Amino acid sequence: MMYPVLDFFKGGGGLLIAVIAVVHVYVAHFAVGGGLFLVLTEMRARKRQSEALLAYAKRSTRFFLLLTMVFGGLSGVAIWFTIGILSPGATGKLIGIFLFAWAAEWVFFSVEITALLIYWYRFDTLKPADHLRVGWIYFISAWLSLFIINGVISFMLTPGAWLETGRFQEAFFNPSFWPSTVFRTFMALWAAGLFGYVTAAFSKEKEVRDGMLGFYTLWVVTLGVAVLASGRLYLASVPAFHLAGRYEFASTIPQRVQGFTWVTLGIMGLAFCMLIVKHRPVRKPLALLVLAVGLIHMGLFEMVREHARKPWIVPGVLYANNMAPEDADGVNAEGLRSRSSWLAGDHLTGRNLFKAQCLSCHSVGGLINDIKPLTARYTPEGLAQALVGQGTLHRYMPPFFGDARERRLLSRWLTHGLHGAKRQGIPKGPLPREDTIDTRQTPVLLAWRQTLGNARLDSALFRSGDPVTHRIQAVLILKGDMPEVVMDGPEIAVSSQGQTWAMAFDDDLGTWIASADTKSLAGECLVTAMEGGDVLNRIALPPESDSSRGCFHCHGGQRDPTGIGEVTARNILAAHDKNSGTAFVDDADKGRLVMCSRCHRGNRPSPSAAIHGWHNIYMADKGETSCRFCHSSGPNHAPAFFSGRHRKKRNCTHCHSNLRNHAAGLLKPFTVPEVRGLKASLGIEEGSVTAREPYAQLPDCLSCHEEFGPASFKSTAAMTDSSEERFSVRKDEMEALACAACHGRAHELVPATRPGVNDQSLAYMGQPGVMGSITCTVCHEEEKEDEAHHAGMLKNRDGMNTK
Amino acid sequence: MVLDSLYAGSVALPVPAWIVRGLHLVTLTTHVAVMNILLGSVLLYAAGLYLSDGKAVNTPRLPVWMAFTINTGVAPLLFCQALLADFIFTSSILIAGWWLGAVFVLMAAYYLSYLAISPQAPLETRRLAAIATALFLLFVSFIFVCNIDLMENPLRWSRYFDSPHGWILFTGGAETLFRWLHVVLAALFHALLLGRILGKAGTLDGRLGLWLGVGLLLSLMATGWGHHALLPETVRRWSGSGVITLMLLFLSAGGLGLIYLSGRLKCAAAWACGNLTLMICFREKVRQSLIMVVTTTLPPDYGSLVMFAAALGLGGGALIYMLSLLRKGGEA
Repeated sequence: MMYPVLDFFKGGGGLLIAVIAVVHVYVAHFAVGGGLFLVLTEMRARKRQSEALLAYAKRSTRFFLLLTMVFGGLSGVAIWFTIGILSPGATGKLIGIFLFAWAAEWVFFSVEITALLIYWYRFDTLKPADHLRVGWIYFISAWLSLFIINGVISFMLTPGAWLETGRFQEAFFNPSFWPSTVFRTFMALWAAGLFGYVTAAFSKEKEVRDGMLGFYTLWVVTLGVAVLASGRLYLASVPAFHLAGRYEFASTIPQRVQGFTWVTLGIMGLAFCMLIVKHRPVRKPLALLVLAVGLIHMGLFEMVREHARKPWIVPGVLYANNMAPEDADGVNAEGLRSRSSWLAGDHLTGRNLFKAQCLSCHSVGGLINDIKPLTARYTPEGLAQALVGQGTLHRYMPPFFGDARERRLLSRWLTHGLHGAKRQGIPKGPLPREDTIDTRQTPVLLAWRQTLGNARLDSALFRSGDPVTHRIQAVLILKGDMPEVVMDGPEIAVSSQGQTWAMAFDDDLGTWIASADTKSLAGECLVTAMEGGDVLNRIALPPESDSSRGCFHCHGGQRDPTGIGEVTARNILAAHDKNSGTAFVDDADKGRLVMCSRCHRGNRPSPSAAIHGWHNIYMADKGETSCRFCHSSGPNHAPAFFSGRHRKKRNCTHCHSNLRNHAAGLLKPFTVPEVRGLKASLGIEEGSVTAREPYAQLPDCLSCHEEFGPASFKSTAAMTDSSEERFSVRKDEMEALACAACHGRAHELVPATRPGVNDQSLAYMGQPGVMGSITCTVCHEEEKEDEAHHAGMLKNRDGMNTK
Repeated sequence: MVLDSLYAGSVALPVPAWIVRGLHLVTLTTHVAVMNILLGSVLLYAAGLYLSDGKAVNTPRLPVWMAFTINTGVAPLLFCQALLADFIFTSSILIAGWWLGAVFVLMAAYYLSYLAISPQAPLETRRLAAIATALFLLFVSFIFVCNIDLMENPLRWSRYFDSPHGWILFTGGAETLFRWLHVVLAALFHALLLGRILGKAGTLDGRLGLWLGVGLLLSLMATGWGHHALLPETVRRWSGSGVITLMLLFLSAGGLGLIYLSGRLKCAAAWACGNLTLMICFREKVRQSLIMVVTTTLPPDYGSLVMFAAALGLGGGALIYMLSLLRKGGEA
C-alpha cells in the first residue's frame, strides 16, 4: 500500500529527520561514552578520596540524567515517530527484518534507564562497590543498545549477503557492521569528552577544573586519533560507488569526509586550547564552542552516511521514496494510482505525485534539496522525458514510478506549476516573397541547397566537429534535342543577404557549387547565370527553414530558430561537465569554442553516437516523437526542414529507423566502458545490429525504391554502404544530373509543402513536381519515350505526379 | 476511498504472528499500567497542591514514572507497527503535527515534573509545574486516544484531502470522548489504589479515598459502557460473542469494586492488574471487529528472536541484580 504523504513542502527533503536525528545521535553517543566516563570519574574520585571530584561526578550524573534520559530518550522516540511518518514503507520493511533486534534494544534501553535512575538516586546510599557496578551495568547496556542499533543502521547502507539469503544474521552482521561498531564506539567515547568540558568548565571547584580539564584533553586528543583511524576503516567497508557520487548532493560526499577530518583535528586543537587557557570566563564559552563544533562533527558524519545511501533506504530493496524496484514494471504499466488510494480519481495531480515520489528527498522552497532550482530550466515536455530516463545513468536518483499520464502530470506541475508557464513560440515558416523572380524557360538553371551535416550540433559555444559549410549547387542545361550540361563559359553566382559568391564547376559532382558558412547562405539565395554581362537565367532558393533544436526543453534557455541558443548551450556544457568531469563551462567563459570531435573520436563514440545513445535513455517514445523532440522545437511540431513529399505518408523513422536502432547502429563500433551502459539501456542484441558511420552512411533511397520503383507503404530504408551512395551525391544513370537537381534535397523532395521549395518546378513546368515528371520539354525539344535518366521516370506521365 | 489495499498486511513477520501478538499484549498491558500510575499520580498531586497548602501532599517520583512510561511505551508501539503497520502509520501521518508535537510536549512535561517535585522550589512554582505537567500529560493522552481512534476508523481518513498537513486531531464523536475519559478515570483509580497501598495518598488514605475509588470505578464502568454503546452495532454484536465480553468486564470491575471496598488493597491491586489485562484483550477484540488485519509471515527466521531472548536473559538478570541492591540498600 502507498501511504498518504505529509504535505510539508518547505520541510521536505528530510529536514525534520535530519534535525532530530543529528541532535539525538549526538546525545545518544554521549549517553554511551558518558556512562564509561561517569564510572571512571567516580573510581578516580574514590581512589583519591576526593570529595570535590566525587561531588563533580554526582553533578555530572544529574546533568547526564537530564540530558540523556529526558532529551536523549525522547528525541529517540521522536525519531521513531518521525521515520514512521516520513518513511512508513521503509520503517515497515526494517521492522520485518529487525523486529526482535529492536525489541532487544528496548530491553537494554530499559536496563540502561533503570541503572541510571539507581545510579543517580542512590549515589550516596549504595555501597561504593555496588554503586560502581550499577554504573558499569549502565555503560554496558548503553553500549549494547548502540551495538544493536548499529546493526540496523549499517544494514541500511550495506545489506550485503542478506540480499541473497534474506537471513537475519546476514542483515545484522553486514559488511560495514564491525567497522561501524568500532567507529561509533570511539565516537561515543569522544563525545563524552566534549560534553565533559562543559561540566568541568562550569565547575566551581578549582581542583576539579584543573584536574578534569587536563584529563579531558588527553581523552579527546587520544580518541580523536582513534576516531579518524576507525573512520577510515569504516569508509573502507562502504562500497566505493556509494562514496564517489558526482551528482547534486552526493557530489559533496568527498568534501564532507574531508570536512569531518578537519573538524576532528579542529576539535583536538580546541582541546589543547581548553588546557592552555586558564582564564575561567574564556573557558566557559570555549567549552560550549567545543560542544557546538562536536554537533557539526556528528552532523558531517551522519550526512556522509545518509548521502552515500541515496537514493536508497536499503540499497537494492527500497528507494528513499519507499518505492521498491520490484514494483516498477507493474506500476509503470498500471500507474501509481493503481497502488494508492491517495492518488485515485481527482486526487491524481502533479502535486500529489510529487509528494508520493519526490518529497522524501526534495523540499519545495525549503532548506534541503530544493526542487525549484532543479526544475527551473525544463519545459513540461522536457521534464517528462527526463523522468523517463531518471535513475538509469544517474543512479543518484530513483527511477520515476508511474505511467505516461502520471509522468505528464508531474512534469507539468514541476514546471508550470512551480515556475509558471513559459511561452517558447511556434516555429514560423519563411514569409512569401513579395517580388517575383523572372526565371526564363531556357537555359534551364536548377539550383538546390546541399548543407553538409545539417543535423550536426552547432552553437555559439560548441560544435560537434569542424565548421559546417553551407553549399549551393546548380546545374545549367542548354535545351535541345540532346540537352547539354554547361560546364564552363558562363558565370554563375549566388547572392544572399547582400553578398555574392561565384560558383565553380565541380567535375566530381558534375554541378556548379559555391560554399560559405552556414549563416551567410541561410537566407534566401538568388542564383544567377550570366554570360558577357547578360543574364542567362536566374532562380531563387527559399531561405533555410527554422532550425530550432529541442535542447532547450531539458537544458533551459529559449527556443532559437537558428539552432541552439547560448543559454541552452552553456547549460549543455554544464551538464557535460557534471556527467563527465570536464570543464567546458570554464572554456566557454574564456571564449574557447568547444569541439566535441576533439575527444569524441577514435575509440570514443562519435558525437552522434554519444548523443543518440545518451538521449535514447530519456525518450519514452522511440519513434518520430523522439526525433521531433531534438531535431525540431518539440514533439508537437514536425521538423520544419522536413517538408518534402515523404512528409505526407512517412516519418523520420521510415528512413532513419527508430531511435533505439538508430543509436544502436551508431554505438556498435565502440567498446570503451562509457558506452556499455548506453548499449545496455538499448535492450538490443548487438549481433542483430549493423554498425553505421554517421553522416557517411545515410538512408539509401534505392533500398525502398528498388529499381527506382515505388516503395511499399511498409518499407523502411536501409543505410548506404558508403558515402558515395548518399542521395546528395548520387547522379542519374546517365551520370548527367544529380538526383537533387530534379528531386530537390532529401528532406524537401518536391513537391514539398514549404513555400518556395516548389518554385523551380512551377517556373519550368507550371506545376510542382519532380523536374521532368510532367514533361520532358523542360530540357528536351520533344517528349521522350525512353527512361534514360532512370527507370520508372515516366511512370506517372499519364497522370499528375503530385502524390 | 478504495481501501482494499490496506488489508494486505505490509509487514511480513519473521516469526509466527501469535508470538508478536502475545508480546504486544504483554507489553501494552505493562505500558498502560505504568502510564495509569503516572497520569493518575500527577493529576492527584496537582489537585492536592492546588487544593491545599502542599504540606500534606505526598510527593510522587514523577520523573521515574515518566521514564518508565516512555520506556514501556516503546515496545508495544513496535509490536503494534509490526501487526498494524498500514493502519498505525496512516493514522500517525494524518495526525502527524500532533503526533510529533506530543513528543515535545512530553519532553516539556518531563522536565517540569522534576520542578514539580523539587523540594528546593517554592510551593507556587511546584504547584504551577505540577498543573502544567498534568495538563500536558492529559493532552498527550488525548492525542494518543485520537490517533488510535483514527487508526481504527479508516473511513475517516479521507479527511486527509482537506487537511494534508498533519493537523487532523479529533475525528470521532462522543464515543471517542468517552474513551479518553475512561483512560483518565482509570489512571486516577490506579494511582489512587497504589497510593493507598503505599500509604502515600495523604488525605485519600482514609474514607475519602475509599469512596473516591468506588466513585471512580463506577464512572469507569459508565464511560466504558457509554463508549461501547456508541460503537457500530456490528462491532457491539461481535464484541458480545465469545468468552471475553463486556459483561465479563463489568463483572470483573464489579468484583474489583467489592474487594476495594473491603479494604484488601493488595488483593485489589492484583485484581486490577487482571482487570486491566482483560480490558486490553477486550479492546483488541473490538479493534479486530473494526479493522480486520491480515498478517503475513515469511518463512520463519528466529535469528532476531534469539537475540531478543538473549537480551531478555541478560537484561532481566541485570534488572534483578539491581533490584536486589535496592532491597539491600533501602528505598530507591
